[in-house]
Amino acid sequence: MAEDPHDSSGVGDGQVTPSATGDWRRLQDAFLELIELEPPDRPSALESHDPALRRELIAMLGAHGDEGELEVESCLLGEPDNPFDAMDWSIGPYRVVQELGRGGMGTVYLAHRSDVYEQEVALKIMRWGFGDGELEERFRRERQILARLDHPNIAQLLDGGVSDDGRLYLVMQKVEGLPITAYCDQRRLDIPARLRLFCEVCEAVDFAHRNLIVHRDLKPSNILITEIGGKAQVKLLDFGIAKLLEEEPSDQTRFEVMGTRSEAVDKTRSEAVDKTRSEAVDKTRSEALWMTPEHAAPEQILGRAVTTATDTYALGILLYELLTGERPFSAAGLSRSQLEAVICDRPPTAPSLAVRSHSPAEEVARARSDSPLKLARRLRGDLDTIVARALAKEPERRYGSARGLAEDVQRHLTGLPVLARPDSLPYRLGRFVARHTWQVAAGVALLGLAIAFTVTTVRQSKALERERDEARVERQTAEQVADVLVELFEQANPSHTPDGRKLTVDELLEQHSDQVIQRLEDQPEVQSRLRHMLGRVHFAHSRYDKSRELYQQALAQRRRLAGPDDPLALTVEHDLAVLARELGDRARAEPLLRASLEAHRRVYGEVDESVAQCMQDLAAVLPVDSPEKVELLEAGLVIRRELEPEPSIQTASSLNDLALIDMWHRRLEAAVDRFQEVRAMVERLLGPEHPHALAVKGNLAAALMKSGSFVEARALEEELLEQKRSAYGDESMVVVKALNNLGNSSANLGDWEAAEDKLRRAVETSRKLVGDDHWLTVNSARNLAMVLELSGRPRDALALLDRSAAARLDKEPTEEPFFANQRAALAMRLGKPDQAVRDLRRILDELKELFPEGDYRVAQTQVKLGEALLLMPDEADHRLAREAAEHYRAAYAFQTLDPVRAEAACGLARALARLPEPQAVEEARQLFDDCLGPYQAWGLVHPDTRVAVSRAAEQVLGGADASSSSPTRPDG
Amino acid sequence: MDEEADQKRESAVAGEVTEWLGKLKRGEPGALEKLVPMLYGELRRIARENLRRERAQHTLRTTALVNEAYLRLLGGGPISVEDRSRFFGAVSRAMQRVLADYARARRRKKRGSGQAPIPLEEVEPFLSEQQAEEILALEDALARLEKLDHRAAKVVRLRFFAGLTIEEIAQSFQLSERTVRRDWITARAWLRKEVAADLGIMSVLGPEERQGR
Repeated sequence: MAEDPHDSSGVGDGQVTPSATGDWRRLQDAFLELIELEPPDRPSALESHDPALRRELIAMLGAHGDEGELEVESCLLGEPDNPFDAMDWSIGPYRVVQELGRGGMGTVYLAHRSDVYEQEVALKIMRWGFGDGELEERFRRERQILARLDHPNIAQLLDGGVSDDGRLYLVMQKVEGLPITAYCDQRRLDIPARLRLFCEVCEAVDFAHRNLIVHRDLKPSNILITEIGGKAQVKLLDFGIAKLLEEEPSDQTRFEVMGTRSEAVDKTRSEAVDKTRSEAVDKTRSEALWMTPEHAAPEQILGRAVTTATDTYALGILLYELLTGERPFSAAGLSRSQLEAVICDRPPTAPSLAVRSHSPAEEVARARSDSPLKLARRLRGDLDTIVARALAKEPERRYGSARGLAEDVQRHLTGLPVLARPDSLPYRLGRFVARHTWQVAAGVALLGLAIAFTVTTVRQSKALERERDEARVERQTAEQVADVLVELFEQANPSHTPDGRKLTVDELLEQHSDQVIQRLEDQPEVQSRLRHMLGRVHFAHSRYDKSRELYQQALAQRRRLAGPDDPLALTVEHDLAVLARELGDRARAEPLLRASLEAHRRVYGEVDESVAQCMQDLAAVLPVDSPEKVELLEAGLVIRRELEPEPSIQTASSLNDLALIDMWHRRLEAAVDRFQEVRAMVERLLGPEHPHALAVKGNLAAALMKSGSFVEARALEEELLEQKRSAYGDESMVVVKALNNLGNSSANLGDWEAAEDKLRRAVETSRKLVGDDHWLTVNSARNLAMVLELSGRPRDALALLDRSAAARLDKEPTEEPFFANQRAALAMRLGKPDQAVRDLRRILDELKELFPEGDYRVAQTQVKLGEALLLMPDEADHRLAREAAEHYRAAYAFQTLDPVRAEAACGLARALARLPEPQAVEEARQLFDDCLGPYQAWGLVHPDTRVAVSRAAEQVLGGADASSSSPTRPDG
Repeated sequence: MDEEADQKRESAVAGEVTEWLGKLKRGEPGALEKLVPMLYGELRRIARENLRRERAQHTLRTTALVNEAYLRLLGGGPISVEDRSRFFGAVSRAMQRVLADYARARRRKKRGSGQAPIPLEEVEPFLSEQQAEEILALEDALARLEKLDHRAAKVVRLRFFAGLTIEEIAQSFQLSERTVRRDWITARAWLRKEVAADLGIMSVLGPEERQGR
């Protein structure tokens, strides 16, 4: 423990490089400027900084307030300095007798007024003075308004002012009592008694509101209960004081207004310390911006207008705490910004659920003279609804007044129906989707789930209008399902996991979905719906077996409940068909999808969105060159245009599919036109930065690329990369994908250098963000390996591939064939075709087990195997060429993806060209004329194909020449 | 204030400190837990006294405790406090070091799995586990800050580890209060951010698209 001998401590004389200091100054200036701004003005101010600085500033803003405080700070700074440490001093006519309590920024003293008459008062002194005459004047004015607030349940503000040395003080009626929550727990008040006290609080708040005074900082430590003649009386402290202080500069002027809890102060020191710690979050901040988030209403966090509705919200928090023993939003384990996000976005857990799930359920219930189960039952329904209404995120959705809230509580107490209604389902789903946008973006089907569900509900209630009761049941069950789902997702809250980590959607599903379903055993209606929805979620996360199991259970259940034409049964059947399609099982999917289309037509009629959707889904399973595919898409488009006054996003999606077909058929001009139309639609509907808009732009880039507009296409890809970069920052997986795409385009252009650069950056960023073993890292690494292979560096490619395989296969051993496939290609390049053949034969067997014939992964391997076989010295009977031809033929027959099919055709032609039989050579020439010519004329940009085409042309023509039949040399 | 009583108290504390320092040297369990808060409180009190007396135009006395404690803490001779800034610089660095050592000891103890628990928890730990981790993260972050801006790092050290107020720092180092406050506010936010990142308290800012397949 030696002191640094060089620390001469002339502050500022440290050896610092000028550039580092310059950076710091820049950061400091920017930061200090920002915190002076109102929160709503900050985003635009942040805009002016470069992304790196911006990110740093945002993080610092998050850490700046009290919630960013490190635990150790209170310990380091300890009790704040106070010049009034010593007693026996006076301020104005008040003589200080004793300290009652202190908090971060202020201290409360017991004081006597001795000049005119003897009176005990609570004197609160702020650490920081204003030092500003104008504010002092304003303070005096406001104080006089407050002093006129005369109500038996409101502690009167008696006096206040600025001391000679510039410190602000307030004099209030001295109240001895306990915070309302502590009082209720100590007396073990049951729920009705608590509610009656709560109503008194509401009435007092309402009185102040009618005098146009908003409290802004209602919380248990400001709501004391005193006992007068054995009767509990509510006393509200500090009315309007938050407002008095609101215009002070932020950092130095926080004012802790403490309850004058002489009882608490008299208790042991250690208890007081505990109290201080647990109530550290109770700190009041004068500015909305610096409000303690746990108590802050969304509008305070968002820096919007604070009104009486803000107090109503605070009363909701109080009611919640009185009922459950907890606050609806806990800071535990959350950063300030996380907590703020939660408050602004997430509905609180219903009190009836909270008392069951929170830890000391027994204790909470006992303090309310109840058992946990009974307590939960007592809260369910009315009280859940009342609390939800008071805690609505939007001020206008709350009770119109504190009295309104009190009256609803009264109605509940007297057994009358309460006026508050639960939020409607569309409202909640809307919020749910808004809240989970990023999760939803992860699994697109999840978004589809919420939207499709809303649509279904609306549609179903329309269809069943004649049976109103049934419709009502449907809606109710739908709401229940939504609740369960929302509850399930709320479990992703880090405060619910033991280690405070955020649950991933996968883990969440794995751990909770079965259990949630089980709980609904006695409600088959709800259970079947939930099974279906969870099936979709599992589907979105590629857990197909689980998804199918849930769908099948749901379907059986629906048919039992409601017969085969039950709308939901139809939907489930359709989803099963889509599942089969996604698994690549076209043979099974196609008849299922046709049946689904027919059933939907029967139930909903010809012109219905669901029918259009069925058409689109069926089209997706048909081969790309099937005329029916186009017909279906166009029919769907007609239906949608008929139904929609303005083109919807579904219409855009139909058009997009049609454009993709155009692209496949090489009707590239049409494709480009359509993509441009779709792009305009999507950008109008969702804005140019929406992920869908970016996706369409990507398609457009691909079409342009194929139509030979290389420069234009690449420019679009580059634009996309920049858009994503500025939206997500350099270090984001979205940008990794964009880099990957741009790398691939460059590779397709043969620009190996650019391709390598982009792909390398993709791989490196991806490694850093998600690790070596993530599929996206692996994906880009494999692309990079391909580029290295094609640019003549097979060894580098192999090393890269080996690293990826080592990382990936531990996690996903089933992907071994894909690596082996690419390795085999490299083995060929390195002159080891025998090794490639061995590996590829093995892989092909494995893949055939996994995928149906015609799957492109199988086809790809067949093409590779053919190529490797052709590289080997053949036997006299041309055994290897024959085998190669067989593989190529299989790939060519089933494959519809163009580059692979082209390769298969090329390969087949080459293989046939080696055979002695004249009909084989004839077939090869035929193939070349029928197929290769056009492929080549298309100017296929895939380098593999280009190589293969020219090689085949050479060999076939050579072979044909050798067999001395008359050569027809096609162009190109 | 009664100077005689003051001196009495100080020498009593100094005696206690000496005793516990001895125990610490002998490796007695619980010595560190006992010493850290004792020294910490005393050092900060002395620092405060120093200023107060200075203000009241008293000369600062080198008390017995200061001698005792600093002899050991700083491994040097008695500290000249004529250079007040140097004195506070030394106090803050020493305190930081004491706390970091303490935090490391706590961490070692926590990780010393398999061994019999050392019976030193009769004394309430001075720092909670979280606080100990924060101290260590803060140590690293301060070192980084020092490279960025020496003065800001110094202000934080004086504030956190010598317990000086903004006003006191300004006085002792002939800086304007505004400058010190600007340094303090910025550096504090920066350090909190760094510590939070270090300890994995991640912010939700910049939501990353979750990748699913």
